Amino acid sequence: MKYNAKKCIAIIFIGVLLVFGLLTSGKVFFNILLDKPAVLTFDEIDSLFNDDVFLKEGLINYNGGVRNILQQRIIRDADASNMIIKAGDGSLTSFMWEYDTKPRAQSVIALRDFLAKQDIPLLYIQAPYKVIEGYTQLPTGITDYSNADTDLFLSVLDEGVVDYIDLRQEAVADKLEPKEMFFRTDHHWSTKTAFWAFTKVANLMADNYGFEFNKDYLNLDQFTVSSYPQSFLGSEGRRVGRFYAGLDDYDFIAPNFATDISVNIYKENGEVRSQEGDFTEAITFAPLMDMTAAPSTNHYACYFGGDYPSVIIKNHNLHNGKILIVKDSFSLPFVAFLSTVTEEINMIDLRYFTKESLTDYIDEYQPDMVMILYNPSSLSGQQMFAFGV
Amino acid sequence: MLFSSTSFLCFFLPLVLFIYYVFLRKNVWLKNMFLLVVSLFFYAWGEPKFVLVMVLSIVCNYFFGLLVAKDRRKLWIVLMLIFNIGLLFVFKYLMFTIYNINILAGANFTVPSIVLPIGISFFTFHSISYVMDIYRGKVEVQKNLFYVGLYISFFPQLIAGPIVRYNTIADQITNRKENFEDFSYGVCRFILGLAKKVLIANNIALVADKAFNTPSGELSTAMAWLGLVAYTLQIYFDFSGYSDMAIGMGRMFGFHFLENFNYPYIAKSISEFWRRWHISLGSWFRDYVYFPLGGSRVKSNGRLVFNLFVVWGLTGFWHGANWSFICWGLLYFVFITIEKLSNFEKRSTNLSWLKHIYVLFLVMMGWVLFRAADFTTASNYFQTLFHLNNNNLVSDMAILNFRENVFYYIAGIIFSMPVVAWIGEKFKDKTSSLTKTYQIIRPVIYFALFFLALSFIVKDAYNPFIYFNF
Repeated sequence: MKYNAKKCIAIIFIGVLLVFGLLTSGKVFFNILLDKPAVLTFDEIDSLFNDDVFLKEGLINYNGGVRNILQQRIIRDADASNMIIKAGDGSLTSFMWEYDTKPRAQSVIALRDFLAKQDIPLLYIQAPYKVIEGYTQLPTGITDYSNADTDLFLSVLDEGVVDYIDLRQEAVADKLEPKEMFFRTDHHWSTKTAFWAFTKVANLMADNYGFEFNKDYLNLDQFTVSSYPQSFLGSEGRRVGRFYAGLDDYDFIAPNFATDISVNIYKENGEVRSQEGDFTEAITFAPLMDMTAAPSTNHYACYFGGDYPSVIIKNHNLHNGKILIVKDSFSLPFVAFLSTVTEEINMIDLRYFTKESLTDYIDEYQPDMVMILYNPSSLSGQQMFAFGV
Repeated sequence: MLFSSTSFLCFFLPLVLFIYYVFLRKNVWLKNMFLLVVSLFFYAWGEPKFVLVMVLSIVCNYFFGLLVAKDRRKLWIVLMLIFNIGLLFVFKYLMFTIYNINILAGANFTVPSIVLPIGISFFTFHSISYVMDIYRGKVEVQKNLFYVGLYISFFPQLIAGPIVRYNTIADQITNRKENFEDFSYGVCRFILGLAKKVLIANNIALVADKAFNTPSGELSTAMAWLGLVAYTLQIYFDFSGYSDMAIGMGRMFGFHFLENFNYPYIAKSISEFWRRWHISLGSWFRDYVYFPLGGSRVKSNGRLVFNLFVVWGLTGFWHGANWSFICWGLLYFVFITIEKLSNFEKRSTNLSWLKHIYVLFLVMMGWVLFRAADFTTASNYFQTLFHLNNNNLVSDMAILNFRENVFYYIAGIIFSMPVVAWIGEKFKDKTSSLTKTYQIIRPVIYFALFFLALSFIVKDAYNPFIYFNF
């Protein structure tokens, strides 16, 4: 048969349509049957098709590869808030608009006043943002306000005499290498940076708040760092594909010393997942720990498995009190490490914790100390500051 | 449902093609009924309740067709026009009319909130041309209601055209012969249309939107020009890409639609631009408005000017119920009238590039009126374009948008000219080794484009369709 390019294209097209049609529609309708939603709008069906399209990861990788060749530094979606920027060092980041963060700081002051009546100390922990002053180079025309927003927020805490630690400043003082502080393809801090943050806060707990524990446990030498090179594609990376900014190395850190920990994870749907054993058995979520899995596996969340309304971690080897931490996702590795020096920690995520107000819960739970750990992007809205005071 | 959506590409199109060719291929009636049902389903995907409006339009125009065929009384035509234009008026122009009556007469009528059924301007024009062509004796009446329904609602051309005339496809509805040659052509055309729409129009649209949505005081002159060039490219690739997909899908099912675009930006006069831009709309107004008024074969220039005024006023108004659209239409009235009265097209000149610049400049100025939300916005935009205000000449926003999108600008400018046709000419000699190589890599190019377009869709990238609003 004589070769004809148009007919060849048509034959391939039929094959592509049949394969994509069958496998995508099959998956969509299977998921619909599985979830049995009461009502499904056409828009929702459209987004199901987008989510379940056959070879989605491959298509996004291809997209990112082409954009990399075109040297595009900004990747925009239909939702403008999903903009991803490639910084000067090749890492992926987002940026913050200018916000009035004063009301958020005033909420923290009100919470501090509420806690003071019960003699519960409050420590605000300011995690760093990926756009680092004096280091991160954004494309001309993009202005990030994360540092200005955060400075404004902390200045109000200063005026209100709230205890806080600004890890941005601490990182500068400790000469942390900016390039190593965060994953390249994810907005979260690296596991090593989270460990460093844990040592800074644990020292404060011991020095200022009377928590007693073995300070040797703050030394990285007491932990094993398992490195998995080129094994992780972070949340920003997953949206632009592995060929846009490459893959990250992932380090898993776990203590060498003996631990006896139990964890109860309280989910939004009322389910409770319990794990116990040593640090790795109790704290990690096995499916995300599988380093042979696809790089798009969210290894960052292998500590605890993700964000939940409430997670209670008990260290049965210690008797030094309990801490309630109001947190965002930066806390996952941080709290994992903090649990090695704290008898009990209760992580509350206000994005999902809706059953009662935080203050009512504090009245019931009676912690010895309350911490808030937020990264600057959590300062953009009031949701994370709805403490109920 | 959008052509550039995963639900269309991974569900609707493969399913429809599969059923059509595997189960129904030998029975025309079944094929047509199936296409009618899936076309109504396609329309219902986005606008379930407005399917009733379309069905009403189909049924009424079917009976108007029968009545006109029975005795060619003008009464039926008048009633048909009252019905069709009335339908269009209620959904598209009633709010605008009441709003303006309130302003002009100082009245206080409540302006109702009416949602525009997608594609109503297109299927109304299909319907009018169907009955008018029967009245003029150009086509036989279609006695099968479902076939009239298929003509009006056939999904490739339902939502954004082209405005297919009934006489173009009357015979194809009952006697079409699908073949693999046509199918292959249709596939290639569809892929190119999808690429034009998703890869160029959607990406460059981000710059246009940014420029036109930036407060006038913050917009630099450079950004205003970048935004205007972006919109000029966006509207062409958006609409011609959609037409390519429609024509391509028509071919896949054995229908041959006429072309809707012919590289309008290479025109050397405004009249020529309109012979190349949205050809099906231009020819509709020519055949059903301009010629009945007497066209250009009239005794006086005054009458010619009047005829042109009516046609271009209506063309502008067809695009939207807004004074800026009417002014946009009248802008073309002014320049086409000047061209006609001065025999502009027949005057030969060595400076043909100057004619290109004249056309492009005017068309682009027209797009400002077309795109801006209102006159004030358009006026501010014009001032920034010509640096008549105190805005900056260049801004970081302009540098950013140019740097990020330079590839789309280059691709857009190149492919708005007949480059593909030129390549086709170059590779006409089937014996040359270059042609053979091109033919071998051609499928690779097409599927690189197809999967890239699909990847943008899957990524939930920006995906507007300008002509859905009309």
